[in-house]
Amino acid sequence: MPIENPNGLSKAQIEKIESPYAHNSGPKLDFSKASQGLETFNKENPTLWTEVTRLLNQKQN
Amino acid sequence: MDDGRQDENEAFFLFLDKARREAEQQLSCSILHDRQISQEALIHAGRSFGSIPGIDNPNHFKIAGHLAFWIRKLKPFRIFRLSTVVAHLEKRGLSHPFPEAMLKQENPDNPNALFVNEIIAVNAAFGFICATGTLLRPKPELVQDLIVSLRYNSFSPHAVRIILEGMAETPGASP
Repeated sequence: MPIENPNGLSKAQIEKIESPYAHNSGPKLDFSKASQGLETFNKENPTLWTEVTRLLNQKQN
Repeated sequence: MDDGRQDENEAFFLFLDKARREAEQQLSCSILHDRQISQEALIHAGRSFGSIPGIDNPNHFKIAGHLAFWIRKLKPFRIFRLSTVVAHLEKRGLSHPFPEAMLKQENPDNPNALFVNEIIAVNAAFGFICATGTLLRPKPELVQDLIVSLRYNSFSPHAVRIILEGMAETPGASP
């Protein structure tokens, strides 16, 4: 039986297996900034949570 | 514990407290925050942030997804019920100072109380993503579905990350 891929994985394949995800670089953890982000988000989406809780109620009743 | 870690924990607690207050307003109730459990959630989420060798700073969707997953899994929040305190005191033969009208105001049947941890987890994730300048305009129907699904279905932190990233709007993306 012929042997397939006699050299095993390539260097690029090994790198891909070790770091498979495309998205893994970003800012360091900053929860003070995240708190401001939360305020901004709730200001930008002022009716979201009222609407979500209304929908949750609707599904429950 | 070193000062840097302690500062990070404190900032994390305050961040979650902000999301908790929003949930209190929406659910018209008081919510207790067990900081031991939320610290545990941060430790668990933090383990995944460094899972790829050589990359220290994870993507913000990944951080938000993993935090939301662990908050929803470990559940550091619960509804505070005055009636529980009263029952506890009465059981021990102690009187309580709470007027009857105040106790009647409590709504123990609020169905949304079931989802308190999921609501806070999702709101915190949105806040974390929004802080990076990412535009988020999630549809209420989708958020409601995510909240219910986080409670009753199986999830992985990575799956939550993908859902959150899918909700974000990328400038310049085709409609």
